[in-house]
Amino acid sequence: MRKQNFLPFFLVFFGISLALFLLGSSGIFTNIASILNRSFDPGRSVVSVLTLKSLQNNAIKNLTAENLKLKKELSDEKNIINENVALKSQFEASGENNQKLLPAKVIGAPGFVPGVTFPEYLIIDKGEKDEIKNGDTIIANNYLVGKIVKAYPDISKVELITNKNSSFTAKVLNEIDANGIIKGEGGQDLILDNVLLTSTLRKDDQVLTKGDKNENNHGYPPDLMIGKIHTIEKEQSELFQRARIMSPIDFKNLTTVFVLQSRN
Amino acid sequence: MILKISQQFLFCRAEIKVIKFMIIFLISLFIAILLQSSITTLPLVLLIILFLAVINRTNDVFAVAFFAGLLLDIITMGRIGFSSLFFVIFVFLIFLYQRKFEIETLYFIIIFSFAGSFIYLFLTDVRFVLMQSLFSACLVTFSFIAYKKFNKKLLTYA
Repeated sequence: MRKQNFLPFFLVFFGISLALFLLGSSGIFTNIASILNRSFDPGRSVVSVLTLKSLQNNAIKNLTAENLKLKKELSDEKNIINENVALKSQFEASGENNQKLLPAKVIGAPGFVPGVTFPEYLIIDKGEKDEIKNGDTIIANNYLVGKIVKAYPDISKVELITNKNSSFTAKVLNEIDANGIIKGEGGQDLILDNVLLTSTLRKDDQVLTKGDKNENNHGYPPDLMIGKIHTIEKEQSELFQRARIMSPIDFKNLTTVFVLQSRN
Repeated sequence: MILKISQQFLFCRAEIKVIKFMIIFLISLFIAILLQSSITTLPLVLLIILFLAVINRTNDVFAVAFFAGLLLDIITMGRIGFSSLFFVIFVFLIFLYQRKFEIETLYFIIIFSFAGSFIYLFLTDVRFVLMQSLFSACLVTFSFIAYKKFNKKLLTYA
C-alpha cells in the first residue's frame, strides 16, 4: 500500500487543478460557484452565529447602550432630513440624487482569531441580482467601510478600507490644501499619507473621501466620512507629512452595512 | 474453514475501521471548510489534508485534496483552482518525501505544517502569516500526539 505509484494520480489532479485555475480567471465558473456558494449559506451562518455570538457577549451590552443613543441621534437626523426634503422641494432644487442605499447583512468575516483580530474581508448577502457591481462603495453609519471587489449573483466580497491593498484619495474637512492618500494597515488604524508639509493637520480633524470615480463610475464618491485624525507625524526633513486616522467603525462586529449604488 | 472465516472477520473489521476513519475525516474536512470560509483564516483544510496524507498514504488523498480545495475556493470566493492546485502539490511533496524518509514523525509534522501554512497564507495574502503558521503547526502537532496516544490505546486494548 505504501509503495503505490502516485505520479499518475498527481499528474491527473494537477492538470485538472491547473486547468481550473487558468479558466477560473476568465470568470466562466462564476455562476456555478455562486449557486454552490449560496447552498452553503445556512451552514456558514450557523458557524458564524455559534462562534461569534459567544465571543461578542461582552460587546452586546455596550452595543445596546450605544444603540439607544444612536436611535435618538437617528430620530434627530430624520427630522433634519425631513426638513431638508421640504426645503428642497420648496426651492425646486434639482440636487444630484443618482445614488441609492441598499442594506446588506454581513454573513462572513474571516480573520485569524474570530471576533478578536481584524477580518481580512467581509462577505455580504447581496450580489449581482440586487444590481451590485464590482467597485460599489460600502458604508455603515455614514462612514466608509470598503468596496465590492467580487460580486456573485447572490453574495459579494468586500475589501475593507483597513486592508493592506486599499488606497484612495482623501481630504481633511475645512482644510483646503490638506489632501492625501489613505492606506490601510490591516488593523483599526488608517494612514493618511502624502499630505504637503504646508497643510495644517490637527488632532480630531474629520477626514473625508476626496472622490476618485473614474469614467466607468467606479471608485469612492466624494465627501464620505472616513474617521478622525489620531496622531500626526510631521518632520521637516521629509517631503510629506502623514497622520494616523481612527475610524469609529468596529469592523470586527459589523452585522449590517449599506451598499451605495450608482444609478446610471 | 475456521481460518477462512476468521480471516474474513478480521478483514471486515479492518474495512469498518477504514470507513469509520474516512467518515470522521470527511466530517472534519467539511467543518474545517465551513470554519475557514466564515470565521477564521487559519489553513484548517490544509492541516487536515496533511494529517490525512501522513496517516492514510494512499492515492485517494490526491482526490480529497483536489475536491476539498475546489470546495474551499468556491465557498471562500477565492480564485477557483488555486487551493486545489496548492493542496495537490502539497500532497505530492509529502509523498515524494516519504519515498526516502519516514513521515509519521513529529518533526515532519511540525516542519511541513509550518512550511505549508506559511506558503499558503502568504499566497492568499492574509495578515499575521508567521503567527498563524506557528499556531497551525502547534494545532496539528497536538492533534498528532493525541492521535498517536489514542491509537496506542486502541492497539493495547486489542
